Amino acid sequence: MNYRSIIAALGVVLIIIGSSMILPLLWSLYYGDYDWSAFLLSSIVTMITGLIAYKATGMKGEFRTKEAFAVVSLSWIIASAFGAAPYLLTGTFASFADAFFETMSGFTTTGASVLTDIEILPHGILFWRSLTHWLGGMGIIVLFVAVLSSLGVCGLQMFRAESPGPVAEKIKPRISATAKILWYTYVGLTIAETLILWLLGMPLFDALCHTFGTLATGGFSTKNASIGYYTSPMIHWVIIVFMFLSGANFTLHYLALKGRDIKTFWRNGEFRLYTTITLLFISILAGVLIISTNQSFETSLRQAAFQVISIMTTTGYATADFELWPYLGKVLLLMLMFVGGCSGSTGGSIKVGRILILLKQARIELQRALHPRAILNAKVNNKPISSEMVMNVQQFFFIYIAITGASVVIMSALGLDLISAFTSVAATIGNIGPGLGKVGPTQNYSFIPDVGKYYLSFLMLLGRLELYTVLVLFVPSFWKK
Amino acid sequence: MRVIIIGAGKIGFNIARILVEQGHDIVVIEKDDARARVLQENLDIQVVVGNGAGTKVLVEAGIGEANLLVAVTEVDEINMIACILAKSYGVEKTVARVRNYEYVQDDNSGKSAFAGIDLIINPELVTAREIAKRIDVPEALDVVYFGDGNIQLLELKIMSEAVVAEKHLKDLNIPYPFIIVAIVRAGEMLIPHGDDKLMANDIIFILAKTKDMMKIERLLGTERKKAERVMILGGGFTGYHLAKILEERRYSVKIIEKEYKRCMDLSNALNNTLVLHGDAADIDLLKSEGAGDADVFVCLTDDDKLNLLVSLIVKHLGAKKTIAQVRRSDYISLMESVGIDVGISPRTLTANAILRFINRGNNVVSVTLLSDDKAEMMEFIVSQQSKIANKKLKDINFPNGAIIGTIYRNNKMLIPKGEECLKPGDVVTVFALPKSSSRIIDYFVV
Repeated sequence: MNYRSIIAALGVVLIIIGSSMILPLLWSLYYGDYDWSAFLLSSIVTMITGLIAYKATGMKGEFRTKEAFAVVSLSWIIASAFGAAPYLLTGTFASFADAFFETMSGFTTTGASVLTDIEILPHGILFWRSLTHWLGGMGIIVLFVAVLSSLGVCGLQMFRAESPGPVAEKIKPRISATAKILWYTYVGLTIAETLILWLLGMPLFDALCHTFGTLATGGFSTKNASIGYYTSPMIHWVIIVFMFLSGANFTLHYLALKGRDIKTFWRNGEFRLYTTITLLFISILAGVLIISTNQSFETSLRQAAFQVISIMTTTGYATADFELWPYLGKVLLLMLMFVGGCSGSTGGSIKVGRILILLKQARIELQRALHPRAILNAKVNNKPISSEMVMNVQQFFFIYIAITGASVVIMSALGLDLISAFTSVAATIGNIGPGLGKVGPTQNYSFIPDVGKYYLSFLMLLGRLELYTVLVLFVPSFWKK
Repeated sequence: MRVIIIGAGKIGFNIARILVEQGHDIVVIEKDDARARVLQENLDIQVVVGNGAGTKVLVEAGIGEANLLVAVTEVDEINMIACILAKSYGVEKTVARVRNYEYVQDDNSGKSAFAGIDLIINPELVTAREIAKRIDVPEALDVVYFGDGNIQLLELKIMSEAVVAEKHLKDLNIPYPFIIVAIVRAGEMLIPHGDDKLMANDIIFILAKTKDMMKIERLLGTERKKAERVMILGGGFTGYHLAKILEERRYSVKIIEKEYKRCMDLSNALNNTLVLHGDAADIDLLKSEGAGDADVFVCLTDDDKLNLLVSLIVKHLGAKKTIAQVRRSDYISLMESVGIDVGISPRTLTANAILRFINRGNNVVSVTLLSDDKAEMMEFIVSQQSKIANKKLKDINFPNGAIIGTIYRNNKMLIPKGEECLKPGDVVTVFALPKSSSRIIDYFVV
């Protein structure tokens, strides 16, 4: 294990986090809030710690998969630990557990909050909450790799350990160029949504915060009622569209833009399934709402579309209190919690790409039962999937479900009822945010004991880094020579 | 520059590794899934799985933006088709490895399948030329030239009876400029300082002016009489090319080939070479034809094991130097340790030749892999913008595992000291271990 390089890399991550704290500082100064000094202090401390760690060690020697796993997992933990500083220094939270939970929820783009009243918070804190989403959405390490172009193969290892989905594609031969393009695409979409929301009448500050929450599929809002605060249907539709785009593969956005060919999306099997699932669930849910409520058709459709896409892409914004919906509606949303976005998106959970491979393989197994001597292999985008990939996905699915099951037991041991325990686990490991019952869209996670908050933070990390990257750290031989 | 490499064998891998270090964008096309994964894991490049002679695969690899295509698969025809296709996509330079000599032969009609290919590299021809160089300097395990041939790098073995053995480098009393850039001792390669000692059986890499080298060798005790009698085993393309080169240089050459028909062809094509028909492992034939008296015995069959065996036999019979072709270059160091003087890997040589072509006209003049890829010798032109230009060498924080060998300035060779300044236009040779080679490039390439 090359500890020197690991510490050096973590140092760079801290420098990135520390410098990003300057942005909320600027908003704080702009609004003349009392808390600007808290950001200045956190920023300086974080940056100096990072600099010392980097200067004292330096990236040297061998850097392989092992080191990459360690750097990626640890960097999310220390980013959350240092990112919690502004909350503590401004007095937003009294306990470290709360501050850590909120930051981890931000970086992992979960959007689960322990705050009861958001609207009384100063602008700096609101902005920092949303900014953690935005940084974590495309990935801290992806940013790191984009900034430091000389990393070479070790950049590639870290990129793979962080990027979501079963396969990490390279758009450009060099990993740093790929990382840059992903960030440019991300920034481009961010600017687009912010402008549109602003033109539709949302104040610039709120437009930016909500854009961060949408693009990263996060879910932190600046309003207690989330997007429901805004009554304009247009704002809802715009956010629906951008949530949907953020749940799709960013590589596809880039390729479609570059080739000026919208069909790029449709040629991708994962995107087709993503769209199909979305439309299917929207139509069922809209039907349920039309029958059970006396809302207008447009309102029902909009609410169905918003909630389905919000949960499926693991954003977690809400325009309706789905706690009050009929059972069928709630169960549909619960199922969507286990789908998630596409590979290479900012969405969490199991991912459509894996569901696609599982479905294809299921069909193959059925065919094999009928034709025992047939040679069959599953294909995605007309390319055969290796059996290792299939195994990997099946194991992922199993571990995901197994951890969810075990975690429900732990949460109920902490006193949560079945629905709350189950959905709190599903909503954190899937990086969604709101669940049902006591953790529903109008509730929050503050009542959970500290142990539970740390545990759920761990689940968020597991979910964001897609299990393996974090879990290998618990294999004893990982740390041996 | 965007470079597409087709075929991820040993040649493709080494070219990809060196070019990515130089800052180029590399896409490799490889048909084998498992091999593709090995590359993906080890190099920061894009790998496309498929046949490189197919347009669909080439487009996937981004042929439209590529500046250079290097086709080095095992199959000549794929390499040729890929290059011709690449030209039609507007790729500026193409390189193909073509092994079959019939494709390469020029009948002066001006008609050739290669109209569009910029460099056709024939591994057999390259190998023959490299072996000929080593026969010209029989005591050297490897020979590389720099600065238009004025500077020579030799890989030499220090004999146990040599006077310089057990001496400190700084105490060597040699009145000509030279520098020992590396010592290989017990399989470990180290970059020596003045305080290091030369030991018997060390292998050294030494740089000096080509015209001084003989005199330096005399003082080092590594010189040897010029070779006269050369025997070649295996009359394939490499054997034929080698015999042809050697007979022009007035060596006495004998070539042994087991196929009668091939012997007839060789006998027709060669003028002063004695062509012998016989089996390689026939000790009586080797004895009666005087293999033991040969100054150099070269084994060029396609079978690594046979090359090893015959080399050992003739060494035992008394041949002064044995050179064996080795397809699996991982075995070279092992073979050299059991008594074969020089193991030659056609693949490493091919990679070197291609790299020289690619780097032409660039800040990087040449990159040569040494000692079974365990070290590299690089040649750079210092430009005004180079990080290293106009600075004293002692002020440059040069990475460990690398050393500046010579400076070639105004047709004069200098061995630099710490006070020396690198000036724009200087041609500098740098010896580097693979771990530092990428950082070295940063110092020179802008």
